[in-house]
Amino acid sequence: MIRPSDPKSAPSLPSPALDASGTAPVSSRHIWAQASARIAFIAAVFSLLLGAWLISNSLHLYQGPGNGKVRLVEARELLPHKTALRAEPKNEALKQHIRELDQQLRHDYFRREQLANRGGYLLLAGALVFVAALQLTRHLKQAPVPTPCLSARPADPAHSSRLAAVAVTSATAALAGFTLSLVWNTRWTWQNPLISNNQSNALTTTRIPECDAFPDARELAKNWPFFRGADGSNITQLADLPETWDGAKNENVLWKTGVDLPGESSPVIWGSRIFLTGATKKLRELYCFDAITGVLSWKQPVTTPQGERAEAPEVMEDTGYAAPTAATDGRMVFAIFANGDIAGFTVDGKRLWARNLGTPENTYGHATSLTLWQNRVIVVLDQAEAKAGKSKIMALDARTGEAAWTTSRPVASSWVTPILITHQGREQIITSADPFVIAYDPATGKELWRANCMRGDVASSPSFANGLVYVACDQTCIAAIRPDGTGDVTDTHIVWKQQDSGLPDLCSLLCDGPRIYTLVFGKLYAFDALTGKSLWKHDTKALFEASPALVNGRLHLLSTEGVTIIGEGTNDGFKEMGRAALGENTGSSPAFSTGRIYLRGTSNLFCIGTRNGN
Amino acid sequence: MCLVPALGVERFPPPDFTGHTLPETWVPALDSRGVGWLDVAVLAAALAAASWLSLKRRSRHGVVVLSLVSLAYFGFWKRGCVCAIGSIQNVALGLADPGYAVPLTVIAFFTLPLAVALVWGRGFCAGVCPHGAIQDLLLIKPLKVPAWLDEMLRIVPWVYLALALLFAATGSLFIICQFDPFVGIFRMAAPRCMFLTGAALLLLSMFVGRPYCRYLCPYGALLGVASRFSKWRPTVTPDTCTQCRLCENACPFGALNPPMPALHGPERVTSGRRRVVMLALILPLSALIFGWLGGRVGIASLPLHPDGQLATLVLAEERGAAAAVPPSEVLTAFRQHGADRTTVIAKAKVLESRFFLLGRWLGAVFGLILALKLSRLCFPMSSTDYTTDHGRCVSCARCFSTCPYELVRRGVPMAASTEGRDRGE
Amino acid sequence: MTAPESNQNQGAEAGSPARPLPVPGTSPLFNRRALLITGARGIGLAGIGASAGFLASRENQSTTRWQIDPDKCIQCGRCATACVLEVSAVKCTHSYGMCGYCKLCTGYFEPEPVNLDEGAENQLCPTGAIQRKFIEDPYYEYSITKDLCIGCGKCVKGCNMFGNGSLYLQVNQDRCVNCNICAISRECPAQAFVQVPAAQPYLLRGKDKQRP
Repeated sequence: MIRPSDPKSAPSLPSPALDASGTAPVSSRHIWAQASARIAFIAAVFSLLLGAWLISNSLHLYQGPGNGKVRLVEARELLPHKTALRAEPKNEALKQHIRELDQQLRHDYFRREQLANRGGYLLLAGALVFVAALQLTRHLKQAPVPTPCLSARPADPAHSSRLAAVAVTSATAALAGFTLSLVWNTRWTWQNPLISNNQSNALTTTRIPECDAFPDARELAKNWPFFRGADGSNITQLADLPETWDGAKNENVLWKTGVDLPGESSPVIWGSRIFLTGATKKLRELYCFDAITGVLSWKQPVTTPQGERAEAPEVMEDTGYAAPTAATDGRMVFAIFANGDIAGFTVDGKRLWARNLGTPENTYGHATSLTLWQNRVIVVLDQAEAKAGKSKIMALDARTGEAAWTTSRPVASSWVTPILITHQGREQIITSADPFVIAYDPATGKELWRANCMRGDVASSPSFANGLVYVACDQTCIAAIRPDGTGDVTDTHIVWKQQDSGLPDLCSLLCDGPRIYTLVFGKLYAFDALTGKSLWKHDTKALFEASPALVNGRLHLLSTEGVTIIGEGTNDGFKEMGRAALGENTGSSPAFSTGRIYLRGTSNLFCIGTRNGN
Repeated sequence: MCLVPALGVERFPPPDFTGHTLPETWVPALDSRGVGWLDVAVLAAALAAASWLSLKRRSRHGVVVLSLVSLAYFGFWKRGCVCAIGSIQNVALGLADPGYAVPLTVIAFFTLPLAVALVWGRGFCAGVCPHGAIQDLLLIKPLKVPAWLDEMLRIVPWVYLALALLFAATGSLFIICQFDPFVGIFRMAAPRCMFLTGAALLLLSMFVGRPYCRYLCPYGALLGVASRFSKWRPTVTPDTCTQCRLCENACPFGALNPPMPALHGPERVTSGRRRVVMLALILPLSALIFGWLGGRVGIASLPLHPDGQLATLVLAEERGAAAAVPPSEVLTAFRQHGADRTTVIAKAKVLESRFFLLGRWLGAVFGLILALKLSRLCFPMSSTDYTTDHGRCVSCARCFSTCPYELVRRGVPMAASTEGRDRGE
Repeated sequence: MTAPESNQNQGAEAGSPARPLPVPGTSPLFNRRALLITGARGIGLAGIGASAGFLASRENQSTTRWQIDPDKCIQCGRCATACVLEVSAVKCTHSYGMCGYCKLCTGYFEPEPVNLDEGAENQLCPTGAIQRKFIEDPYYEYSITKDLCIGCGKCVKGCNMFGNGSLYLQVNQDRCVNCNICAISRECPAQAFVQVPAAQPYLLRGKDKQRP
């Protein structure tokens, strides 16, 4: 019976192990131990030799800068001969020599690589035998019953513990000192040395170099500053955009952020800022999101200035109070709402001005987005009937909101966002409404030309391609107009009209160069852009409010259910390549920037992109 | 802006062959070694077996067999991947980045061993982890690492863990995988330095018990903490200790603490007071110092992230130092495909603040851990018996057979060895 | 501090003779300690469970594999050398549908070939991994011998600079060991390595793009 002994009395220790206790007799145990020790020795020698040989082999493979592969790839041995051959291309002997050398090089490389591979397995086997034999030896030699440590009394544990504390302290101090010396001088100055300090506003994290001049076309094209992009074409050449995503499963969703107020307006992008508007009958807000993180950088209410009259109009539910898309030039951002409230902010969210342009009399609700020309905000306020004479186009000073010019328009309500084009050196604002397509001079607001071809509720925004302005409405036609005329060009400059089918009502048309696409009640129509000849139609079995976009040659059709149908259009038809669901309904159009697509759903703003592609 | 010609622009239109059919583009099919759930099942089974073998069966042979099986499966068959050690990084990135989905297998590999350690101790290290197994099986002649050196080196896993978390959570690097010494051996292919490190560690592990597990493994550091709170854990004696000192050298990993005489009377009170004062001083101080240092390290680590590297290169180039920066291909690629400067810098700024904050927090936590360790060293717990340090014990089951009580319990014929000894029978 | 708990456990199982043990719970200090440890364990388990659940709830992708986005690749040549495998898992892929079947293939021939024939002196590929086959005048078909390809990307560079880009590098999934972080991706200057769903582990070009 074993009982705990008194700790004070030194425990009596068993004598060193008795050899006789064990399952095998001493002699046989000993012999086995010896044999296994020999095996271990042999295995060790084998492994060592093999290892040495492998190292030499690898040294040969890897000699020189880079490794064997690099040598092979650079073909250093072959280079001088190849150069020599260029000098005398007919030298058959040299050719032969190159071929032989090449053969030899490749053979050598692949043989050594194979040897290294096989040698590795052999070495592993050798090491395994060595370890197994060594462990067996140890096991056989080990006394079956433990022997105590008969050394002197163990060192005072409290003392060694304190020693350890000193060691740990000094080691960490040394480590910390060393680390500090490494990182002491590392600081990043993000300031662009080309821009002086006072220009970049230090108030907030200004990420955009501020400059006084309105950005040039190149700068605009780098961003997505207006509805349907910088040129209003809804075309981007960006090649690295994702083509699959799933909003519900967060697949390829870099972030999604809730948007407080509803709206049908689309996002616009400048640098790392995303601007979006939202409104209810009572509230109107402009949002700025950080493109990287999706965090709301700021939001600002847009209020009607005191003393100005603004009534919340009755609008269709589908249009809402925030249908017009904001516009930005990288320094300032502007937003307009259904009640005629318009305001300008710096991109940092500082309000510059706000005013009310009078509540537009619009049956569905004002939906025309803003666009910018130089330092002017172009506002088209088409309302009521043509004969009421209330429709107008204005250019507001971007800094103050004062009207630079105002031109009355002889048209009825429209929902068309104008585009800015330059044709034969003449800058023009192209508008489209019932009944006229009118071009204005952006500097003065003077009418340049008009064509009488639109009727009814005109909502499809124009496009400019192939030197032609393409316009469409759902009642009369799709038309191509040469924009080089003056006065009434109805009879002279309309190149073609297509009146039979595929006339778009809500969605703007898209021109990819050779073809025009329209979306009508879920059907995609294609027309020859130069003749207007109908090419084909394709039933997508979805409904659309967003304008079709062309992304690096592929059509992106965003349905009201939030499903983006991606495909290629040719002269022969539409080839669907995939569908990507957002998981939310939407009436907004997508915005594109490098590697990312921004989509607004009913309640969230989504940033679509591949994780590694950003 | 993208200046690359749009794809599908064919400089040479593909010919329309009449009599020749185009071959199919061939890409080799996926070679996945086993499916994820199978790995998780094997892991769970191995964990259960390891816990059972070390706690209930108390069988070293069983643990050795299990670790051989694990080494073969998780090591050489799965080529060392998925592994619990590396999973720390995936989990860290997953927690830091909502857009990163951690595969379920990886989540299981991270959580199961930790959860098991909270209940049954580090059975994972004993019989499941291939890294542990390959070192443990090689252990021939363990040398005792002096306490001061041992404690000093045990700081390393925490530094390693903090850096790994910093780099992983920012999405920069997975250093645990990058510098893993044994995965090259498991997959029989690695860069030379990786092989050499692995070989050196293996050679060392013949004489020092599990050098990687004790002095490098960041997951081991986590398991050590978890194991301190475990419900059931292995102890040398099945019942009670007689201080026969037979087990003194039984543990090659320094997990057996000798008895520590307790202080009595006023000495004990003073010691207790001093301990409180020391903790009150050293905890905040250490957290502050290392938090500050961590923040600096974080900022300096920015170029380790590809976006940070790009931004710093762009900056360097703007300041005319581009020639001093070798991988200018990064800039070439950026010009070909990348975003504009503004976006790059904006990204880098966000990244910088993330690095800074994370570095600061991790540094502070490291400081706290260090302070607690120092306090434990300065005021060790008293004990009358040989006790197991459960943070260090890897449940290898070596020590059991050195205890005479255990031999009795197992019914090993002790007659020859114990008879005649004055054991107070 | 620990022995009593396990002692009970072990003792019961081992059926050892009765022995005097310090009875847990008699010392208030011990009681508090045990409570603390139990509490910490509970918190630890709950924390592990919560983070596992949090991460698992996000699980929205199947397992992923590494792949090269051919549109980002700049053919720097690191794929051949940076892979953890002795012979890189990256190899050249050829989309025949995009190929112009040129007689003078800039992916096959040296920049200034002496002759447009298969002689080693004219070939660009350092391992001779591209086969050239006459189809009909003036068209030649090029195909990659995957066993020989080492992923250096020389031919890819040639094809992308002057040709249709029908040759491009892809991670061959039969060889790739799917490292947690791909060693080549760390070295890739163009950030062209992406993780793609294992169900569709290739990023092919042209008409092959739509292939399942």
